[in-house]
Amino acid sequence: MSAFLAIVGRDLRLGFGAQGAMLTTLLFFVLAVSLFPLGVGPEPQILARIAAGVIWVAALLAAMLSLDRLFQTDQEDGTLDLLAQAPLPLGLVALAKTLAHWLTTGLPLSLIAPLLAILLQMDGAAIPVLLAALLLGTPSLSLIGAIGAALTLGAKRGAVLVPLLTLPLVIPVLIFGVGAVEAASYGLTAGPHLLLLGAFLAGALALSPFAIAGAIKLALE
Amino acid sequence: MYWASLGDFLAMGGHAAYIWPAFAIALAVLLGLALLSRIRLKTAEREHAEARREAGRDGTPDEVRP
Amino acid sequence: MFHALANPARFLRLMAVIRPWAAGVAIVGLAAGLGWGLLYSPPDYQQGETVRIMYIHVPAAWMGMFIYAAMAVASATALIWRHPVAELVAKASAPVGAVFTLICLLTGALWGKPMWGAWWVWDARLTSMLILFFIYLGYMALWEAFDDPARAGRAAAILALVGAVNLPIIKFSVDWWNTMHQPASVLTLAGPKIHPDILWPLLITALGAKGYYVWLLTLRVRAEILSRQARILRFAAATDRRAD
Repeated sequence: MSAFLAIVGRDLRLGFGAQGAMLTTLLFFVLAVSLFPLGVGPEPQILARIAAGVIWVAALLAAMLSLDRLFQTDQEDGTLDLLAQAPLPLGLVALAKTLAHWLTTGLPLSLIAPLLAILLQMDGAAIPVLLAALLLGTPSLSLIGAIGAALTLGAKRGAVLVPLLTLPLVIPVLIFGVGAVEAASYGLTAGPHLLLLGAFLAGALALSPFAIAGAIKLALE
Repeated sequence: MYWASLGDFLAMGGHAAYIWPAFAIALAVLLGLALLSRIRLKTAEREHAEARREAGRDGTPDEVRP
Repeated sequence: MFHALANPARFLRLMAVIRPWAAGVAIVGLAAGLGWGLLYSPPDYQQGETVRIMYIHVPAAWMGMFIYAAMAVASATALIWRHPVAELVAKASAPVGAVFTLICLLTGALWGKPMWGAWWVWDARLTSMLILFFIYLGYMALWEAFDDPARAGRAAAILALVGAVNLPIIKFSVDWWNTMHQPASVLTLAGPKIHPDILWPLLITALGAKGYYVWLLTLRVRAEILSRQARILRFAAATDRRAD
């Protein structure tokens, strides 16, 4: 457990530091969402109608931004070799790094999203649901994204490849996430959507460490 | 046979503009991929023969090769 | 039998035996199925003659999904038993599956225009096929992204399995999304009750398409094995020269 926390702590320090991608990701997210009113016009009805989709799509894209560096820097400086020999199973190492990725991307994205929802005229009742859905959904983005990041370690054009591999696989998160918010803004219950998001997260949490560990082993051979 | 005449058949009840392209595109794409696969196989066979010849010139017996 | 197939030379001999039969099934099946669909089957009472596009569209959709399943099984075989030929079967399958998926999308557009009045409608099935197409493209891109074929093969195998686990969930989520946004007023492409005059040409075309797939596999896997052997021979020759 302490090794697990040590890895999370180390990645967090790197993520929050000057080199870290946290601020850049957050800025990208805010900027991408702000572009939509400029693109589709400022009519409140239109913005309110598309707010959930815009925020979710921007969150998906922002989560992809720093993914290609998730394991790559550690592989380049040899840290990954050391981590692979640590007593901690490689799956847990992967989980620790993924958790750190979520804490520096998904979590801040989710926390700032209500502000953007207000900018986009989202219905007030839907905003807490948006926050809940993002908190449940973004960890899945980090987990599936980590599979893509590990598979493309050492690949040519890895940075472009990760979103190409990952985005089709996280479409369910987008659909259930937007569904929850829309249900809430129509005055319906968001429960089923949130449950499905949670189920997807549980599945991803159980299965993706194996895929990530397998992919990292390949890269270290 | 469902059709009364060749003209009827070609006209496809007025939907010829959609039905014939659908069949044409499908067949063209399938033929194209088959052709591409054949070309790849021929290239691979040529490469393989060349590599064998080069390796033979080095005097290493083929059995050693994986 | 299973382990015998792991030997590339034996696999190549088997492929050589299968190839003419597969090509025969492909040509006869596709010609008979599509010919039946065009010449003898009745038009739909709602859709008229455009229903004939179904004889390509539906088998192409089946093949797109079937080939992904085959690819996933081959990838699992490659990962679990380190079966060298299975990996190449998976690699050779991807372009064929992608092409069938593409045909499904294109014929869907040509069918949609007279039926829905638009080239593209975000119908649940078409959308799922579009996502499947993207997944095929990602798989093929991953193969091309590495210089070392061994590394590329195992990474691609993991991706194929992750995709296989995820595809049913994607399918479910897309259906869910579709019912949320479009109450079931959309014309379904294949009716609930299929008349035998429609079913037979569909099944025969699907059989022909399977023959086509196997035929292309025999071509593409052979090409993969030969070019890998050529690579190994070249590499060995180069190290020999350096040793001299």
